[in-house]
Amino acid sequence: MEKSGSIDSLGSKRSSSRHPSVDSLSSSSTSRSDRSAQAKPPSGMSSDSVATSAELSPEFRVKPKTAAKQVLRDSDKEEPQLLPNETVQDMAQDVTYFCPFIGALRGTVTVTNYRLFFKCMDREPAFVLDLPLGVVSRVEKIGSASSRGDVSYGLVCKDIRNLRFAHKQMDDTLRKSIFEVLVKFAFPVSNGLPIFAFEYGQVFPENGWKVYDAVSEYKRQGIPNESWRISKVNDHYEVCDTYPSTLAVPVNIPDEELKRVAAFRAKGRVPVLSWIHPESQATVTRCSQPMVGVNGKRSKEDEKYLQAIMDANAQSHKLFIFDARPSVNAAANKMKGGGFESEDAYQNAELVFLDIHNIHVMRESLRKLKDVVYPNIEDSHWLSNLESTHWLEHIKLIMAGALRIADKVESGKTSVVVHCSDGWDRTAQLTSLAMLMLDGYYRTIRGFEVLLEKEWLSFGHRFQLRVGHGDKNHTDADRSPVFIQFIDCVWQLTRQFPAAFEFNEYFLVTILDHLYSCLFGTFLCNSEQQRLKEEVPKRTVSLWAYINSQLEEFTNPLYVNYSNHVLFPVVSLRHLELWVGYYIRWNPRMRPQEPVHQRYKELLAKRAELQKRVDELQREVTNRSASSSSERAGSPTRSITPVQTFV
Amino acid sequence: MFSTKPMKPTFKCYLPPVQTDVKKTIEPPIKKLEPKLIQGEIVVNEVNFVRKCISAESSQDDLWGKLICTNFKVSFIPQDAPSKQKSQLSHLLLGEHDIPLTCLEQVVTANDTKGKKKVLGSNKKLKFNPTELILYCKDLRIIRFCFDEAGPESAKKVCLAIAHYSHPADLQLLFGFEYQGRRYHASKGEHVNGSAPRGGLRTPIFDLPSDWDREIKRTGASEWRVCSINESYVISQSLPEYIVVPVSLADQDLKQYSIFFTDQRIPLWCWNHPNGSALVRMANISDPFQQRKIDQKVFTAITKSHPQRSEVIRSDLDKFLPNIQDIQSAFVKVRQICVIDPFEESEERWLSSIENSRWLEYVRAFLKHSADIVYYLDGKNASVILQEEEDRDLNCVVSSLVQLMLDPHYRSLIGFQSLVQKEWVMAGHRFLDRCNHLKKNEKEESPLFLLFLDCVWQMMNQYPAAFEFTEAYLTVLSDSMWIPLFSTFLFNSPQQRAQHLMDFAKNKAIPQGEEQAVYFPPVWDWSQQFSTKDQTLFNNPMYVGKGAACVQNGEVKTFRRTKQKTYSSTLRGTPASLRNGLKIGEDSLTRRGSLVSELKPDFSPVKDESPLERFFRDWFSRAADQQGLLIPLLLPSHVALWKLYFLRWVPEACIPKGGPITAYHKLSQLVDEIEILQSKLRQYKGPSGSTPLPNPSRPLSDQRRMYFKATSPTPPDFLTSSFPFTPMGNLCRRSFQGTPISKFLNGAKIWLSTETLANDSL
Repeated sequence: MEKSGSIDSLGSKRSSSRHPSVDSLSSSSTSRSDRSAQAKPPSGMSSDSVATSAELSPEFRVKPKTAAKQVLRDSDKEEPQLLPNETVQDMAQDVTYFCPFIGALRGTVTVTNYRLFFKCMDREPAFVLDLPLGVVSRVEKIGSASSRGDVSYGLVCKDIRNLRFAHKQMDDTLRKSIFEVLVKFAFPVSNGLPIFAFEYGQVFPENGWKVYDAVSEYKRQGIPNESWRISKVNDHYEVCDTYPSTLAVPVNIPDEELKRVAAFRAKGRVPVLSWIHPESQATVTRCSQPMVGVNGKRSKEDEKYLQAIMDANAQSHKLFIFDARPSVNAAANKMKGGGFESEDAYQNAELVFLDIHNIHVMRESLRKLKDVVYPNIEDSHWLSNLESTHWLEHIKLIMAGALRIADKVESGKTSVVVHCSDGWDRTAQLTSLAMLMLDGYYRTIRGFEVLLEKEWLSFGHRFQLRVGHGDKNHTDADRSPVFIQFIDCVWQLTRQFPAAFEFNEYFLVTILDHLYSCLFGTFLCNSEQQRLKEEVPKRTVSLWAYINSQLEEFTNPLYVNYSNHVLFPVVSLRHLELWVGYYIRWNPRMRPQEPVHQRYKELLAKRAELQKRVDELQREVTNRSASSSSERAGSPTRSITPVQTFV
Repeated sequence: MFSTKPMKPTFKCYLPPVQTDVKKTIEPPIKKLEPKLIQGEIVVNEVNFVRKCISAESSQDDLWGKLICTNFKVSFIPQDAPSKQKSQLSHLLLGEHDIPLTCLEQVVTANDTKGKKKVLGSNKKLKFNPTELILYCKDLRIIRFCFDEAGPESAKKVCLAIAHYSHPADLQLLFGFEYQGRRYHASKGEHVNGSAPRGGLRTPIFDLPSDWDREIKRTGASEWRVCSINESYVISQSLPEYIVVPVSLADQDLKQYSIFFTDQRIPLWCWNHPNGSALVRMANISDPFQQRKIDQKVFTAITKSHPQRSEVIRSDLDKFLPNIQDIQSAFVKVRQICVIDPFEESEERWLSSIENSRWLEYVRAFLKHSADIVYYLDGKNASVILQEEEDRDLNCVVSSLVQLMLDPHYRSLIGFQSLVQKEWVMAGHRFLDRCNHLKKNEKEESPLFLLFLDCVWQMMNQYPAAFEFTEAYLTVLSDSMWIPLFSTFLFNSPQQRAQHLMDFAKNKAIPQGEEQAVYFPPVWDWSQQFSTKDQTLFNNPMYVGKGAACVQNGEVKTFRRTKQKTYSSTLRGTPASLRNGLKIGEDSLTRRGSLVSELKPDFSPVKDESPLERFFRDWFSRAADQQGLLIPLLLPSHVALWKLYFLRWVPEACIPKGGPITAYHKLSQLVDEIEILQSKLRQYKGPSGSTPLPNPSRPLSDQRRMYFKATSPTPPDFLTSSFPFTPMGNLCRRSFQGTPISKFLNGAKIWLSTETLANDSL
């Protein structure tokens, strides 16, 4: 098992020409679309001696010195290189893995409290499947004891793949199958075990939990100012237990009134500031639906509050309320006490429905998509099959909604209020995408981390419920790929504006991989309050600690940081594409299509080399002309100014 | 081919001198609305006070000016001087608002008030006074002129003239003949002494034995020879005069066999693999009784020309691939969806509409078939014969794609042009009929060459560092088909070309012995159309090619390239073979109960791999060598719509400040910096090599190949996904109300309140 990866070697690894076996694509959970990255020879070692295809899991990259030494020793082993505090729970030999791309492979399975590790030594290079148990959605025993006496298990994974294994029927009927052991550790929450993130003991140079600080982020936006203030009314999560403790609200609304507004908004999620335009002061605020109900209840405080939001922006005498839902759904919510703002009650406000469907529709859509892309894509009817999943149509509606918000704020200089029902799914998608279009800061790596921490984590997107970390109840109706959908939209933006983002595709894939892996604490729990209660920041490592310790990996070399550049994507199926680098990455026939970045890095290296040589020659000339200055008129160095460089 | 020497202005006095065109664009505003005519061009008819529609939303951006029909083009001259911002490619012979008559697909006139509409053909009558003229162009533009303020009679006359002149009765009436004749005489004396032969062209034309000889040598095809039995086209009317045949076949044999082939097209050598396998193309054998005999002779001869005497595999393309009518109808459909249907309507079922057009399916089929041929040549070491009824359509596509995949030479600019020359122009692709330049027979029209360019684009999209040229180049090349000034796309065969050019030379008093490439040049002389600066848009900054990335006198490690011609993957060692006998449990997979339906798509059994599949899997498991064999990814999910070509004119699809061009911009800058550094190094080294000697007399700009320079760190505002083209005024389908932003959005009608509309229109 390769344990490489000095940070130093990262720069050159992409040019490594040696690939692991094709199958390795299906073997690495954090695999990136750029496959060359997988064969990452540690420095000082010929790539040929990397016996196995290795997972790029974070821990292998961080402690370069010790890791590199272990490579040769471990390459022949059948067990994985364990993470700090990872322990082997069971091992079994002669297990067959049915790779949908190359066929049946026989090897050894190791189950730890973090991963499933399958290794087949019959192939050169050895075939490795390294799967964090967090990605397992369900385990099914298929095919009972048959004529051959085999037991077969299917693992349905959250990351768009399914794996099938088989082993001989146990002679000793008392002995548990390794897959029964696996079930125990794949669903720790259901089995009273801790999630691995709480045990993972890796130390990173940076504390990722410090990436986001609400007060400094509001300060960056210029808050507090004459119209907006920071409120500590939710300091103990008493007004709203799914909101962060720090809120930005209009200056002239005292905390007491805020509490009364909370009573009128679902789950107490009052309208609070997400983003303010640095010039026009137009704002993006978010909340949940008003509790209008069938009788059309009104709240003076809520009406006054929205008026205050509008008044905080001198540029416009209008307020747009974007309700993410289809109008039919919004109306249906009245039966449950919810609903939407009537234009009678809210003077100067205009309500717009964005027609985005709910979490159940999205879950179904992704399920269909998985059927279409995994394991193989049918040769015919690809586009109509894709169309029938409606996945891109949903992506389009979300992006169209965000574009409308961004356009209203940027071009219309008008403040907007965004909500759906509870304001933690569609609302998070819309505000964060709009902010990404409006504010270049969020297009940097750190800015994007802040955006996720702020709009998703602190505002209570229910990651635990939507992903179902460590929970065996795979049919839970609360599960939904809302966050994946958002990352997909971000990827669509990077496709349309390849130079506008500091991060690359691998960054997005890594985030999604660790959404499931349960290696980091970042995506655990449902709210800021829960995370504090569970002491997640104290007891786990943040994903950002890992990512920020090797930024180069995640950096888009084509990034151009031009300020005040608002992105207006074309939200049309003509430009929206299926994210093959994520959804189809397990298919070995899928070669990454972006050696552009790699090529750019090569060119950078070449420029550096040339610049060095030019500098050397210049020095030489200077020396020479200094020694023989009397002979030569007109120093040649005049015309040799170093080339201006823009990195 | 892009000469870096300053062009003498006298040579092309009708053009602004190439190097100074940047300065030249700052002209005093035109007082009179005079058309810019090129040599031999005359005004046929004109009408004033015409309005050219610019955007579909409103008429406020519309341009007023004069509409002119000449014997070459439809020209519109706006009253107000155009903005000088250079945001698009500018053609040296055509203005921003010009359309060559050959580029017209359909001329439609309409009268709004009377609700009448008519498609105009040659010599058609028009019973109403048109209020609108809509020109549907072969390059997918749709241009609309309104005559609300124009004189009705003159408007009618211009419309009729355009319709008439866009339907030439005879090939010789295509404007290129007039133009090149004048041009030849105007430049006479210039090229007689000292000018490079063939107009300085570096692209081989393959009309001389020497071009073929070089190709034989380059590919190491020692068992093949140039044969001249078709000199003066005595054997076949559609083959070139010089062809390459197996050494074991004597001229006499070939003459004998030729009568059995369709149009006497004896087998034609295309290319040799370093392993000795040959790619050969041929027509069907017309006499079924002779089929076996002739087949055997041909096969034997080809086998003899293989160093290992390997088997010969025949691929009958007519059996596997769509025919020319299928391709034409797919193109018509995809064009309909992309540019003619209203944007929002086609958005609804975009993906399935694209699928139903079958265009991408055909693109994929040609790539797939070509990749299969690659497997035989490279993986099985076998020679391949591509067979097609006439050997003039599908064979052109497949043989050129196969060579593009196998031989990096053809991925350079000159190499690519020579490939088109060899496998299309000289092999007798019926450009005249397929382009339907004379608009005589629509049944013969088929965009095979565009299909080929699309296939090339797919490969370029997947391997962006493998090609020396860009997608802008491919697009410009496709547009050049509709400009009748170059000999490349005008004829059905080399014989027809020779015949017409001979007649033409006679008519124009061009002395015998003057080479055709000089008096009627091919499209490859790009300086006819574009300035040196604009031609740099053809250069791919990412290209990893011979010399392109090499540092002089030293190596940068990331640019390692093997010296020998290893475009064979077979040279890299045998692939690890699959273990057999591990299929245990396969039959224990019998599905049962409720789980079956749930798990069915997930755990499908694994099927056996064919040698062909293994060849591909094996190749894909290794890093692609940009200078080696390249196999395109053929998953349906990896064959995409060529957006620059199909959507460049569509305003709603244009991404402001976005698109792949923004990455190209950044890459170009970096490469420009590298070139500056390289040039500095050269200056230091000097001619003697050791003495550092800066040479100020040689400006750096001479060697700079990049369109975007190091000195422009931020992308210019005019960059859009359509660059170097602009949708502005080039696609007016029909007018409808709405704000630009609303059109991006589905269901805009529901969302937009009256208030919004009022606000936005402010």
